[in-house]
Amino acid sequence: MTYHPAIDTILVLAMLLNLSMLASSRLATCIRLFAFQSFLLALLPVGGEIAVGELPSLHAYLIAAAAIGLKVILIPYVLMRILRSGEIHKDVEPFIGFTASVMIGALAIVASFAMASRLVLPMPPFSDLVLPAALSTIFIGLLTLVTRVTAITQVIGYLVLENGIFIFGLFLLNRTPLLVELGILLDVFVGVFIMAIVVYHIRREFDHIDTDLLDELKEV
Amino acid sequence: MTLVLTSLAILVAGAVASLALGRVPRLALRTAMSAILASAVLMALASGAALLGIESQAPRNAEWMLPLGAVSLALDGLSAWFLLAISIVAASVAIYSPAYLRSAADREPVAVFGALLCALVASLTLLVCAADAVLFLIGWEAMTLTAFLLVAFHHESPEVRRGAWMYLVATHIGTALCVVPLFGVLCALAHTTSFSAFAEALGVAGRTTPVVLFFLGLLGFGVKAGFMPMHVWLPAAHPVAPAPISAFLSGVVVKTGIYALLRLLTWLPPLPSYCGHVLLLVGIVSGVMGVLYAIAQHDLKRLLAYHTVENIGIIAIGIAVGMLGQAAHDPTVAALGYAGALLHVTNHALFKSLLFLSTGAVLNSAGTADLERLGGLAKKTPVNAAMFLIGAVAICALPPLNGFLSEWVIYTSLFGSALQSHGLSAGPAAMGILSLALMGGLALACFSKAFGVVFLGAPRDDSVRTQPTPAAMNVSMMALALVCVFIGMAPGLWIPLVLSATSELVAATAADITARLDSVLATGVSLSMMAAVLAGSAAGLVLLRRALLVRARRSNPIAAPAIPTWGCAYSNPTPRMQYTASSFASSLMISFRGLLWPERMATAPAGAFPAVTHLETHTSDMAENDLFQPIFQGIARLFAMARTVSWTGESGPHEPTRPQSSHRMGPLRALALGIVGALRRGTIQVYLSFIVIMLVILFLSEAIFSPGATRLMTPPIGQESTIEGSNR
Repeated sequence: MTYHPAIDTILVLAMLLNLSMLASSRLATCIRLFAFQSFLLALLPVGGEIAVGELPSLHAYLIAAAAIGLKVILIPYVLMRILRSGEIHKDVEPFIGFTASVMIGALAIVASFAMASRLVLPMPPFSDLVLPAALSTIFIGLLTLVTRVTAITQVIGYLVLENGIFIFGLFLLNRTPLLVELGILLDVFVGVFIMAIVVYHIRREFDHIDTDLLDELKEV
Repeated sequence: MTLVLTSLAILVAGAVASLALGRVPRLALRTAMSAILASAVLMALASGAALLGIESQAPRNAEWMLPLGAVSLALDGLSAWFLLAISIVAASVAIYSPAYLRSAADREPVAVFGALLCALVASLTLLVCAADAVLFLIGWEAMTLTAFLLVAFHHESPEVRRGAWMYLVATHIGTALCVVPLFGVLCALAHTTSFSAFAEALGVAGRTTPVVLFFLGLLGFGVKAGFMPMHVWLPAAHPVAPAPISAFLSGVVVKTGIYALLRLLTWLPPLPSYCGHVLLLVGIVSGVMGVLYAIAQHDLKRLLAYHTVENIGIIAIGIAVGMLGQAAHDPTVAALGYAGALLHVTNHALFKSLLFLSTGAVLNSAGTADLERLGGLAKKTPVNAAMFLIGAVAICALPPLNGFLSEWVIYTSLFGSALQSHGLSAGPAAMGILSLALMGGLALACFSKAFGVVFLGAPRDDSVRTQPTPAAMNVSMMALALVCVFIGMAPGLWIPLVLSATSELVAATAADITARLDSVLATGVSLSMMAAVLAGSAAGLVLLRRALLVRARRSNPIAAPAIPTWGCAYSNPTPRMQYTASSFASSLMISFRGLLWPERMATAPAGAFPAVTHLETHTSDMAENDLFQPIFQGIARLFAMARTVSWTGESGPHEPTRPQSSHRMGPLRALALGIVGALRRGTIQVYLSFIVIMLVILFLSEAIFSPGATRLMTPPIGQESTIEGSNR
């Protein structure tokens, strides 16, 4: 049983950020919240090793640096540029309203806690909150993917989902080779990059990035 | 065996000669048909000898080795029985075909037709005589391919191509998914491809393996035989094939499925009774639905094709009774069931070929098989009408013809099964009796419609011109009809033959079964005799009435005015006032509309002097339209989606859109469309939500039901490895 107040604070903050992302209708806010969440999570690899009483390894530093570089600086920058180049700032009419999705997100957090207590893990994590935080972040990322309409929020949902996986990977950190970890980060980067380009072109061609209307593109 | 080998050689020589004589098509066709005729005679002799036990039934092996199996031929009772049916149908088709194709000889490659027919007969012979799995599969494939080519003989029309492809695809799906795996398992169990080792290997294979093999065989051979959900190729392929080929398909090719199933049963140890119940249910469904669909048809050949489904159902009922008898350790009932099924195989081959050949004669003389246009052919082609009538009486299982006898044996076996003290099989057997009776009545209604509409009354369409039937056609039909009557009147001659065939399936004392079968047939024969006397006296009365009328007319020269048949006392009747096939069937269709879902489009007449009105009825096959078409369209759409990367699965530009009746909405399709429509909104989010829901369900179930689900936190150090182990 290990408790480290700083780590737990970070994890709780990450979960709260999830909820605030669900609640915010402004896309720029969403991106900033995501960047902040990513920054907090990037501190975890180093912080986690300190928490279990080890000296932080080069491995952890590398991961943290890559995460900050990609998810705190580069990706938010690209997304903000797309936003600035267009006139869309608000998410239009999500399938599930903002209040309702916050409620569902809260339920998801509750369910994650319930489930995390039942899961069998190969090794104990460095904090009790790691698993619930990871699960709830994954759920909320999926929820964003499913309920939001604009392509930008789809990208954000995808990124939040990835953040959840990032947390999940943290307590396996000592076992995951550095290459795999970096590979995942590169994957995310390439994915977002392609999506950004696609979204940019969709916006230029159609003057909106509403994926609900995108199925008019299908082949007939 | 030598006779069979000789006839195979003759058939091959006939095929080669027919191809070599391609420049003189008529001669080529005649050569091929003579070869078939000669080999049919030899095959009939061989099978007769084998059935009577004159010739030894030991397999004959050739030195020539196949890559996998061996060339091993054997003529046991079961093979010989089917060979007999093949030879009779082949002989009549051989007499019939040159006359049927006479007008086509200049335009179409009839030499190829002859060669292919030789090849078909040869592959059928190979199939039923094979004593080796690989050789059997070679015969099976050769039969499928040659029959496909023959069905597609008039390949210029798209309808013909559709029917032929449907046949090929259906049988190949059955072969690939069921027959090949079946033989694969058998060969793996027996470590050899020889049939003789299969039974022994299966005897020690446990309880489940035989059941699985039986159901594989039921599906795979059932496609060829045309059991009900798998029957879709029959009504597609039969109407488009040339008439002799339809006769061959329905009479023999379909029966190879039955042969293969029976052959499989000879290897399997006695199966649990639910296998018999399943087969009984399949037979009942095939029989009742087959005859109901037959009533709904507007095309004579399609009607006959559905009757094939019905008769296959009757045969399946017989086999099912045999299996139930074996499961209940009652060899007499089992032998009766199998004997009834085998008798019906031959009888159906006879009268269904007769009917198809007669339909070919109708096509030949009137140029169409559309029931709504034909009429009054009995006056133009009286011999053909008589032949059709004999076939119809036989297929309706009326005494005194052969169809009655085989169904009588099946009835008796069902009663025997129903009266068994075990009780388990009584209910299903009683259901079999009732449905067999229903089939008989419906078949009678159906053939009243077919015969009445085609041969009685007056032509319903003025454009139909009739020509007389060529003599060769009549001769071949008469031969078949004679055999039908002969079997019906003297079934005693067939008992030893059919018992020789059933002895392959049931190990029972022959004397016991002979006595039972004799007593069964004796009752049947006395019924037949009574019916014959009745029919004879009715015919005598008709002749007497005609003679009296002629004499009366002579004495009273003022003739009664000639009016069209079925004029219904109208002052100015026209042939269009007659009952049509649809109106004849209409009341039955209405009472069975819950099973058939007929489609009806009508514009009702309006006003005192209605102008053009319109009524169209159509009954499409539920198995085809609601089961297979959605499956195959789904697969096609899947491939289209993979090809075009279309998110929503809408049909791509290249997907063939088959014109289909938009009004029809079967029950299964309505349900499926409702579900699909509810699920398919066509947006990315919906698809994502499917994935999410699936993930959540999986995750929850893993979290809740996982065997090692314990409190996560702080496992004692010692238990860490055990938890890890249980997690794998």
